[in-house]
Amino acid sequence: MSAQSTDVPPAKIVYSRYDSAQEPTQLETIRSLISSDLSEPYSIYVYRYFLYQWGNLCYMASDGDQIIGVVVSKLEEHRGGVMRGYIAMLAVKEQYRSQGIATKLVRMAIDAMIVGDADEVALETEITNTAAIKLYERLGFLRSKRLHRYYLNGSSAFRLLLPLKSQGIHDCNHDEDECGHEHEHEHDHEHDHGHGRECGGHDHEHGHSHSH
Amino acid sequence: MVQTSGNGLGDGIFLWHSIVNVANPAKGLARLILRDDDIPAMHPTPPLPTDSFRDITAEFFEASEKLNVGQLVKDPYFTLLQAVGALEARIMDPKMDSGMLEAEYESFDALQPRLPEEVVGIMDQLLSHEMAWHMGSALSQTLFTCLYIDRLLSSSPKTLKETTFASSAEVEADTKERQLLENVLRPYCLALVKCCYCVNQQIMMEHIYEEEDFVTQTYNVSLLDSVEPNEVLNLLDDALVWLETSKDLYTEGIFNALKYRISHRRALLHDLSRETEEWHTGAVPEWDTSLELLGKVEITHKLGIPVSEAFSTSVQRKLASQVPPRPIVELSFEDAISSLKKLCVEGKDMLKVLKYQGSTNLVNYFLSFMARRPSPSPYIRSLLQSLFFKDMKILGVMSVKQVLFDDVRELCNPVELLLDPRNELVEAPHDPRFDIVKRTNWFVERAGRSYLDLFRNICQNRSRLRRNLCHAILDWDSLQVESEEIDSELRELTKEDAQVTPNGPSYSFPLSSWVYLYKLRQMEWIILLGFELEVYQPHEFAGMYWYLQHYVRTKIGHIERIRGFAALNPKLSSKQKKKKVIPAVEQQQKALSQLTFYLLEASAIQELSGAMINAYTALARLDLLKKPPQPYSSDSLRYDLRMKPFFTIGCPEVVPFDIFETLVDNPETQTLELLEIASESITQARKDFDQLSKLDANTARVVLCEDAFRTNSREMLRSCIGLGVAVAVLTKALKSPGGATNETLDVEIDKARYHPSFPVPSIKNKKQTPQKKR
Repeated sequence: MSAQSTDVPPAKIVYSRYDSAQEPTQLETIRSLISSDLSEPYSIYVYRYFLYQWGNLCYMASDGDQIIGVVVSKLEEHRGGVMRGYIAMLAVKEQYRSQGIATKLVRMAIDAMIVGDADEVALETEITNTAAIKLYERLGFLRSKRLHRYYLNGSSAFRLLLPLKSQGIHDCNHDEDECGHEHEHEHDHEHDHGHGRECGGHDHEHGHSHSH
Repeated sequence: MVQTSGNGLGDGIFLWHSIVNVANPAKGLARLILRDDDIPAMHPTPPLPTDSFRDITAEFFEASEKLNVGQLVKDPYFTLLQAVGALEARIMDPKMDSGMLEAEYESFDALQPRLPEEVVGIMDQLLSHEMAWHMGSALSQTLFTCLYIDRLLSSSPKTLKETTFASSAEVEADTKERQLLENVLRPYCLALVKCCYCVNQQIMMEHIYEEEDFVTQTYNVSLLDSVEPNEVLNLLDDALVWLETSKDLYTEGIFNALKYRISHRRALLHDLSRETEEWHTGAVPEWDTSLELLGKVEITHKLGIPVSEAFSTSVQRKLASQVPPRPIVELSFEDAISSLKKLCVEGKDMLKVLKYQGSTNLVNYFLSFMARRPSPSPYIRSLLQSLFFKDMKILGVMSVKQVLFDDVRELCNPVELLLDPRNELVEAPHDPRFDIVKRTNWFVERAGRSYLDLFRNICQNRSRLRRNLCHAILDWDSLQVESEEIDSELRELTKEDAQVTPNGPSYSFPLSSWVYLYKLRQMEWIILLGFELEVYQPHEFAGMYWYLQHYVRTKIGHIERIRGFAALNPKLSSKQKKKKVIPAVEQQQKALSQLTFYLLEASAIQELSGAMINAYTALARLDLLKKPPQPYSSDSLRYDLRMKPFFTIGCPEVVPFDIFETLVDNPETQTLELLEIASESITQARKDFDQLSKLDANTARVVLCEDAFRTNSREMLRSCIGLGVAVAVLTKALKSPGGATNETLDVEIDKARYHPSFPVPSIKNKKQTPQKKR
């Protein structure tokens, strides 16, 4: 492979699914890609939590042997029995942005979720992150709610949802999640004063890094 | 030795084979051991019985050898939340390990002489930190980073005497510089801490979202919990006395700067330390004094010299050792002042509610108070909740029943017998009044809860308000069904005569009518907040305004029904009306006037949303609103998602998607015609809003919040006018040879200049590409 100048768009981006056998070499790269967009790095457990359980929903974009973009997701039954895909992290190296790499990665993750019988896909993004919001809205995501001071730095988030299937609209659960749960949070003084808001101090789901 | 029980290490460390990630695992463990012995002074941990410990280091290494890198051994109950909170074994990494911070607080000399200008500077830095905390940042990133505060609190003082800047066994050098620190800065710091104590106590008392709105965490540091506010107030008085006697040491400017700061702190602590009961019993606030002094603090700010070395994140090393070091939150002095001013203004303003002016005025006050922009701070939102409801009393003096019945009366004017307090005196079980009380008491119990929740919800941040309302309408929906049953029973007991209508006999259903109106209002608020919070995107506007209109129309029908029945009570001859039964007539007149007001307001919103529907539909037709593609989803699926909060509501029902689509798109009507209709609706809406804005505060039930009502009316009118302009520009373009297309027009949604729930499209003709240049 020839050395790429950072200014010249690379000829070929290769997309691949995360391979857990490669973890020792890849995890650190993935981590540093995502951390560069965060005010506080996620602990290793957060990555392991996703990669070990849903490595099949994680995709990488590489230029030669260099990973330049990544999407990390999960898919599991949500409250109310809905299969909910969740895009936890998305990052593309700065000089590779605006080339549709992030969109491609997200689409690969969504496609894999559809194979996994997802009913919907969810994520959170900072309300000022217009690039990310646009990206998802162009894929059909809808803002379902606003989350006040969701991130550690005090900024708010939108929860975005992409409905994939008709979900029978009968009983309970008009809210996409928290149903009957959120009131328990009022004065959680025992609260472990550690974890980051980014990782869902209240929503038990986890923040979303920037992308283009 | 690795602890097997204990002090807050994330569970994860023993669940996951992640130790391989550390360059030198043994070193990491050694560090753990070290840190166990090294529990800092601020965490007075009681000694643990030693027999509960077992050294598992060897077993741990052996077990972890059996795992592959990245392999996860996970308890099914180990959630992502815990993963996030888990301590990563990245010990010794300065980015992740706050224990790596140099303990600057140990070497800090709090008695190092400071210029008086520096003391002023420190006080102002402290004020910024205090307000950053008020606005939601953690103490560990704000006030607790101040090394003066750390010095005062780190010995866990129980009395003011124990709070000192001196580190142990220091010789007292009685210099003027030192006196300034001891006699002015120290009281200021202590009063500030006490203020925080009061704020924290207040916030913990009411419903506010921890970490989202506010962080109550104090990391086991006592905020002078056991010191009485009065002692601290006295200390401030002493500080003022000392300042007077030392006047000649300082320039006039500095002297005043110090005096204003101490005096301001005194006034602030005075009000913050009030118990709710004191407000209820007529305590005289000092918010105005605070405000005035704050103005003087602001003016003298420029005299101060900030002291950056008095603040350090290293304090976090003993506060929150499980999280990576987090930066100091920097709030500018200007922002701190303006948010504190706002707090004082609002703290004073809310005392108005204590003068009860009827339930509708009270509800309207809450609604307008919480719609303030920027939103009232968590402390203020908490205080308002306490003022409103505490110890089972509303505003300190009324029962829930009183206010709830007032609300029903103000709206529905039911027959007197229904809510007559004298009913409760009836002891004979065969008397219908006995049964009436049984049922109305049930209603107080059941609806009272929902009613109190409503007030509490209104006091949440706007995002939460919308989310909570989505839950609340379900509650009100079932409350409505239950109340209808009670109403049917009650009408037998009150021997209500049926009204003959073309659709058969009709009854008043006062309680469930009241419930239904509140339910409809909350459904309406959900939509209005959807616009305000930018949850809805422009391509959804037409549809969401359609629903707003739909709910408002339903409300109009319902109000008219209530009015029909309200006009019947009391049933009196005109002769009787002139005689003794004046209170009942007055009651009726009040209810009727309120209903008329509601009708006018609803009509205005109905017209404006009608105009919005047509204008945004026209824009969509002309392809002037970008509608994103949907490779995975469909309009119908997205509709289901959008309407989710409303699907289970019995009445009014969600309209099936295909019908909704046709109603909003209105394909039968020409685009120009749509715009014409829009323009007519705007004219009507303007008339209505005009009329509304001219109403006196009594009629509009805004005696507690007239200014906010006027502002709101003005913003509504502005939206009408803005939309009128947009429709005119669009009509003109459509009629012109170039047409209304992306080539000829620029369309942007203007949120800033209009009512937050009625953003207006700003439509501009594109300038012809200039031919001359170049």
